[in-house]
Amino acid sequence: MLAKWLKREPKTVPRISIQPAGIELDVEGKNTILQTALEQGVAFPHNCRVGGCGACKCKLVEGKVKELTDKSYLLSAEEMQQGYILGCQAVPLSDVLIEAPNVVAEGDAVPVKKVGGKIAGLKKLNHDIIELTIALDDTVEYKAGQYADVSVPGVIAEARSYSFAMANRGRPMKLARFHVRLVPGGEFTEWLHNTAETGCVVELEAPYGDFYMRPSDAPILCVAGGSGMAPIKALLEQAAHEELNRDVTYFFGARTQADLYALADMDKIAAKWRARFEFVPVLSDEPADSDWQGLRGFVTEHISALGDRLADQHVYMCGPPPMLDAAIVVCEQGGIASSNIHFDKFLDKSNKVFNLSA
Amino acid sequence: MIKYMRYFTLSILMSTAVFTMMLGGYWMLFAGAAGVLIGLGLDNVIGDDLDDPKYTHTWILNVQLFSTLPLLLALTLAFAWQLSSWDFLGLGAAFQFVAGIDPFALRAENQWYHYVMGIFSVGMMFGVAGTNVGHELTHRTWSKPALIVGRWLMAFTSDASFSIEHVYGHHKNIATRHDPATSRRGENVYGFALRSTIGSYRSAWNIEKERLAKFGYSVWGWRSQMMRGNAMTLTYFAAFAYAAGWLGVLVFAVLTVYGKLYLEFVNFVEHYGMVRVTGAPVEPRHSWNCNKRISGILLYNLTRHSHHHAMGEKPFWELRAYPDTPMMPAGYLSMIILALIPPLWNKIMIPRVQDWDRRFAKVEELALIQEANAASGMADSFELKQDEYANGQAVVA
Repeated sequence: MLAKWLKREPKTVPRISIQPAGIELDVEGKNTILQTALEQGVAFPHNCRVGGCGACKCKLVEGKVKELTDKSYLLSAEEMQQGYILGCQAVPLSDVLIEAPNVVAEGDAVPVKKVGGKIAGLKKLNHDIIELTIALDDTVEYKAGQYADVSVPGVIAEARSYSFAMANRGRPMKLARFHVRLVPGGEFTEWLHNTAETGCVVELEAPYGDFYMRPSDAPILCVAGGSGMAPIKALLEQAAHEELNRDVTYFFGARTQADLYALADMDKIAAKWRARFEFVPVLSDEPADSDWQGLRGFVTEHISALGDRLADQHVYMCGPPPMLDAAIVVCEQGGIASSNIHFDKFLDKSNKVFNLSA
Repeated sequence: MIKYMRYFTLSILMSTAVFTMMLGGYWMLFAGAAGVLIGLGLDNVIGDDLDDPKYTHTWILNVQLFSTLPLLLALTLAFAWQLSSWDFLGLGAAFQFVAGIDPFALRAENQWYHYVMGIFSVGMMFGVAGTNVGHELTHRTWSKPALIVGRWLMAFTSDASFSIEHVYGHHKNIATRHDPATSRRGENVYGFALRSTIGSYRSAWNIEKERLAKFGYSVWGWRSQMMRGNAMTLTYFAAFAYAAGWLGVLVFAVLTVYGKLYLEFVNFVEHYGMVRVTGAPVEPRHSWNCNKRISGILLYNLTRHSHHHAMGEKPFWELRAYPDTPMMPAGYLSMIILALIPPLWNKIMIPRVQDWDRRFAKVEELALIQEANAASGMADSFELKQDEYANGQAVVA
């Protein structure tokens, strides 16, 4: 009896293992999984923290938790059967193993670095988009979908943000490629027009952003407008390289046929893609009497036309804020959880786009 | 000690109100008059409370919260007794036995305007005690007793479904166009109250319907929290019908609407003009905060709204002052009165909303601000380069 009592091990605290990131955390007190993660500096996706939004949804693989809310408000019947829980409403009662693909291990995050380079190519892709290719002095690493801050030493100090426009296939790159949209009167545009030529010195700071493909089996819905093509193209090239077996529907919004570009690249991806791949340009201002056979109107109309198929999609979008805002609303109304809607707004990338007047 | 005791203020006020309610006549105004004097007068004299005390004996605070239901029920039934012309539930005899005062003789003296005063008092308590404590308790989704007591408190204002919409709707959608309970720029409090009431009930209905559908149940069935909530309110109606017939029904209808208005007025002042990107984490800057001491005591720190929305899981005693958040210029009741006079509200709050745009908004929110301003006719307080929006196609210059 006494021996048994003496042998009793000291009380241990539950431990959380987060896969696939491979993060291990000790739970303090009666904290939830989300609280534990956030307090220990792990970027666990969340929004409302009261079990209302589903952003912290994850799969309980092993262990027991106490749940603080009726999760049937948030999770589908299948998800509940498969053992999904809400991170913000789950207090570990034992060691737990959870699957949370959106949690990134710190070691995975590539440190941001500055790299110099020279312009290696300037190519017009359509009437207002230029492909800027830069030969770098040193390598950069990024995930397809992320972006770089580009500046021109001595000429343009204020960096512009551009998404990498090609997949790196997991390798460090000594070449970077961007799509630059020309704007009459824009400082960068003027410089590209008047001064820039191959050999000009530029500087990159990368990688930035959390826009990249998350692992899943769900079908993919891509939406882009203008030079928003760049990160989507990179994402899809990377996925094609990894031989992803997921259906893709890609709506590309433009005004007229003259705004379309990268069509050959899309054909290349489609030829390589293992599942269904549909690239669908949608024109909003194409003259009614033109030879255009494709879709017309706004991308949002055609997103909602997906109907019941919409709810299953995982969404990747990049483009002008008005278009994205509208598309996000349509996707949410279609039943897509906000945690499955990933976007990169042009506005996000530059923190210098507005002036305060007061 | 005082840090615990101060939260007895509302319970003491309500206990007194139950007693005075049985006295009839002008005494029925007691709770309403005290509410105005304390919540409007004293609140603006006493000033701010920026302390963040730590509590160990939280059971005391829970006793205070849970006592609200019996006290509010007693107050409401006492008022129903005043409406009745018989000894409803034997309350008159009981009061006479305990207090040694003859309430029947006093009741015979009641004039119609005394009842108006009674409605003013009881409806205010529906708002201050019922909806506020109901809110605090229905947040405890993990505790059945708290949920049940909270929903019965909300049912005074015909709003038991608040327990669904508030947690699974409002806290997710706050400061976005999807939230019925976020007041928009340019909107006045009257239109908002109607939109929010209808929108919130509809939202709760849909959320509950979807949940039940997962198990193959109907939202019209007895398992439905909507139906159970409606039944709770009907119980109150039935009590008033029993006490005073159709007049009782009419009076409770007025009370429930009037009490519910307090909740919507509070929603209006807490969320006016705020903007957030859908799906982005809710931050303290996404609600209007208030650190007025008296408002905070009477409302169990509902005033610390910035922290509440950023960390909805915290009980009221863990909410912090957050002095560097968007701040209401006055206490809750003062803000409500301001809201009731839309020109005055606009004069005082529009500059504050513009200040929010400049000091608190993040870049990704600017497009939403412009949209909200365009819809309201409010001027932008910043300039976006026109290029960014040329023909709806943003550009990277």
